[in-house]
Amino acid sequence: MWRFRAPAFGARGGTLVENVARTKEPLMRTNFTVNGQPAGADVEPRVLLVDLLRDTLGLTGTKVGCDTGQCGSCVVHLNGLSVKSCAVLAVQADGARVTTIEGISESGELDDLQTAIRDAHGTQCGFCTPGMVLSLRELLSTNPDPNEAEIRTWLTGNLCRCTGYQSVVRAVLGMAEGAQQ
Amino acid sequence: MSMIPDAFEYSAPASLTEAIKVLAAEPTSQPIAGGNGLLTQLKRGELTVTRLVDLRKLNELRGVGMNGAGRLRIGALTTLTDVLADPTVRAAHLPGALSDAISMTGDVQARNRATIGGTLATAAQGSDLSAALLALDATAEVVGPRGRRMAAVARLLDGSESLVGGELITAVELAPAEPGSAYLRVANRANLHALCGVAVTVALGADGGVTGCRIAVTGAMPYPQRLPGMEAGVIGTRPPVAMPPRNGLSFVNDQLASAEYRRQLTQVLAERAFAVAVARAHDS
Repeated sequence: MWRFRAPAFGARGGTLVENVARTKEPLMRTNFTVNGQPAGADVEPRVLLVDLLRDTLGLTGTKVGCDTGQCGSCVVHLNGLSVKSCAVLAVQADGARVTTIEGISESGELDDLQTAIRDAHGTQCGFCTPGMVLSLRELLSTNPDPNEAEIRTWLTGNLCRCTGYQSVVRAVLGMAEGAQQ
Repeated sequence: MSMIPDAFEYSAPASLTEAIKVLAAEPTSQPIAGGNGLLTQLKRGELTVTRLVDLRKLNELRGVGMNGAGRLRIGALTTLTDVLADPTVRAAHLPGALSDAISMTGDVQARNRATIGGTLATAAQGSDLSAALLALDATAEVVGPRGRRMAAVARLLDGSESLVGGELITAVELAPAEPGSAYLRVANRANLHALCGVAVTVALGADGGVTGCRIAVTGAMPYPQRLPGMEAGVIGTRPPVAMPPRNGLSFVNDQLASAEYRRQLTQVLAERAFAVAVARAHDS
């Protein structure tokens, strides 16, 4: 797989040519299911899951922010658990079930969480939103009625640089209240 | 977005024996479990490997149980999320230093991937787990090309019994219960590691006096370690206790905090964690 890339942030110095022209290892077949559909690709071991999802499979709802496992823009579900897909190699997902933001709602419409976030103006630039939704889906699956502290603690791994956390928290709190009424 | 700059080979052996064989045969290979730290190092070009040996298929290293000697045994590949959720751990160590430290480690997504063995083996500066396992006097089971050995976590972390080529931590063992223990920290808000974290375990006699105490610090000193001088100053006293100031110890001085600040944090956090541990000992 070759594609144009800017020099790696924080990586050693060197030209673009050096960064893409290092020895390539043989491609490895990786098969898994994405959003319920079988998927697969031949990838180099060093390819990250997020890059396979976005660049090879075209699932660009998953974002790349920091690329160092801090920002949470790349959160997907791997076998039902939220993970940062920049911190997983594509080959490590062999045989796994992957769910991305494109597959979060079976109907293709916004689900209740997405609707609540939209209604509470919980999306600003929107870049962190897919990761927030995937992360919060896991919270709500284990704790359907979280309090504010639990929501905020849970979102430790999702950074919003618009600093729009309050609206997201309000959206989730509102969902729980709505469900009780 | 950065591709890992250097290519490498990848394999995921189906057995521990096979994994150790591959790691021992190829000294420039590295084992990968949760991968949170390792993949970041590879992306930044801080580490070059010829092969990653993924441990994800070694299911025999997952799960929590009791060993023959009645100690709690946590398989090295048990994720931090699974350790926290385990009924045996919850019964014996919630609340306690172990669950305090694990619930503060990274974020949900990191804990869903990170394993207890990998977190201990990499012992990142300011790793919360390091302090908790030291205060809980944990031991690690290590398996390598020359067989199996038990190593005190303290000796793994001070470098006197470090892992050598091809060796893997296969389990962490600790006391089945620790009624009076706690972990507190002040974190670096950017990477969530402890600028200073202190774990305390305390045992109280029938008269309320302190009969046993272990105190361990992470992040504040060059490597995670027990503070025997502070422990000795507490044993035999009756709470509440003012920790004796720690002079003559070497604290980390870097762009995040001065050595003096870390010394002060160690003092304050030790006193607070001690008080929480005593309260928990009374509640149990």
